Amino acid sequence: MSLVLVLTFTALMVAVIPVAHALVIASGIALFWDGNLPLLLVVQQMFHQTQSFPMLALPFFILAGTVIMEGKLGEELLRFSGELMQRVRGGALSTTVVGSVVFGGVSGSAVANASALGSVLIPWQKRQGYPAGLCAANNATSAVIDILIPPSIPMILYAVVSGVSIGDLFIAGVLPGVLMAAGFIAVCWWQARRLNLAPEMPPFDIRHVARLALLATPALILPVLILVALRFGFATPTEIAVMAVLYALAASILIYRDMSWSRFRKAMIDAGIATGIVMMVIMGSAAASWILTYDQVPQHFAAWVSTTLREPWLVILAMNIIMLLIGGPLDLAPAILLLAPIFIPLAQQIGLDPLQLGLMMVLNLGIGLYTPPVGTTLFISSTIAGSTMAETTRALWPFFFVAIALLLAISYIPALTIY
Amino acid sequence: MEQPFHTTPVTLGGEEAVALPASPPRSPLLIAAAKADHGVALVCQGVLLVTGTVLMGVLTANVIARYVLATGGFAWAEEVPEQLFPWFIMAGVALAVQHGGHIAVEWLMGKLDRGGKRVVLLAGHALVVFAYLYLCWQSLIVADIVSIERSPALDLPKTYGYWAIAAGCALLALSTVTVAIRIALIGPEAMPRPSPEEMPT
Repeated sequence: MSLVLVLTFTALMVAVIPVAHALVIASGIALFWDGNLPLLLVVQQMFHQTQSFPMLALPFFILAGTVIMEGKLGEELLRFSGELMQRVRGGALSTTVVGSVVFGGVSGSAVANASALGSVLIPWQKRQGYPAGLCAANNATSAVIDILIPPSIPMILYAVVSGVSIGDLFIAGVLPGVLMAAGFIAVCWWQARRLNLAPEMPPFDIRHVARLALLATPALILPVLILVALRFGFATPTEIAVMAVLYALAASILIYRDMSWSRFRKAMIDAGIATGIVMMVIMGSAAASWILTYDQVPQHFAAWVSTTLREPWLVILAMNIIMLLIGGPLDLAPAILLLAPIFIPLAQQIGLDPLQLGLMMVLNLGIGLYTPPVGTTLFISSTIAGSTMAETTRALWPFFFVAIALLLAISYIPALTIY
Repeated sequence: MEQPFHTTPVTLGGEEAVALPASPPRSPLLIAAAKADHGVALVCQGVLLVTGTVLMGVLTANVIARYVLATGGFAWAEEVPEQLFPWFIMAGVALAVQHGGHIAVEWLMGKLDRGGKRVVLLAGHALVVFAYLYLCWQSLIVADIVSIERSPALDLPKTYGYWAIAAGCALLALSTVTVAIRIALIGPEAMPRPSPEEMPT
């Protein structure tokens, strides 16, 4: 039954049928092929996912991010990031990196981040003399920092599949996110030096910087509030997501005075669509996972890998290679939902903490978002910059190298994620 | 240093943007498809706004109640999301079809000519319509079976949640039909593309 499922799913995916629908249809065909199990199972498994209370955090974290990013608060965040970086060589490029860190604290979507930051910063960076391909590569890779800094939608997905605490995942993502930002800022500095682009040195006005910091504070402290609330158990992650929305709305209405009914309506509908897209994949993968578990595929796979590869470091390397290969053509959400149930038993068998696996998976599949030629942030950034895919890909390699180095560090040094 | 914040945001599109004809031929089928889409969008947007706002209100009230009431929150607070979240999700699922949001691997599209793309897309859409109409029917069967299961606090049957799945599947099928009509009459470039704000990851 599992073989029919996998073959049908692959064929449907190649035939451009959306991943969620391919999962649902392939599950139905596999059950029909077996003949002993009712097709009602597909509906039951799909429905079961809609009853998950932690999943309710998804729409509300998305909504909070949209309210902040599309309003004046997002603009103030970006202005503050630019002010911080403009005196550093490569500062125009680094603004995207720092912007991704601070936007990461309010949004959980790398794709939305790539579009929001890229549309404002890339034209400015090009006018500063940076090549279009480099601006696109910087934007495409930096956007992925967003999903390491809490709140993170991919981490919520992994938490629901694996049973690992959302709060623990959020906390574990902070250090890798900051390390990745540091590595990317170093690349920006090196690129500016190579291109002989010196930073302009406007006079330092402490009052101006303090004013910008004050205006950006409501957004800057949001991730801190989320982490504190999770750490001390003030509320469940879902309730904290709702509080984040109320906080964003309060800041938007009372401080920035830019909230309107039409903005709220659009933000709620966008959050609903994004939730529908993710939840449909979750519902489809639940039916497929049920079939794989019924056939004991994860257990057989774990046993086969551990007897074939034997050494834990080799198993971890193999998992990373598989994720890099799958993360290119397949989007982050379906890749997590399909791979996590198979990799978690394997990780447990070799003594790899599921929390560490979660960070490995989010970062690894995040790299897939800018892996040529099909990465989503790569495509968005190249389109905004007006660069060809070849130009962007050529400029991508230093960033790619930093990301892979961090991935290997996270994979083999537990202290980077479990602290 | 020149500040970046006065620039006009660049809209996505470029060479890959959907290049619809300046004034597409208005056949009766296209007009009917537009009307159907409009109706589905109105219903789904209404469901999203109402369920989203109620969910937000209930969860907020429950957090406040937990710290104020001696009972530690409302007994019914977890049952409301169980009833409403399926409607919120399925409204988003159906609306995502109109926005081209459901994630697909488009490797094959780069290998085919315009006619080939049209055939592949139409065959795929036909399969999706058939599958979800069948799922809609299956959902109604399960809804009937679970009607005897009732929630402890609100005494509501599980049926409503399965109705959400059935309604969502029906609207998804209808939206897929309207996209297929456009692909058949205009071409593969009529496939909708999502905006980045609607991309979840």
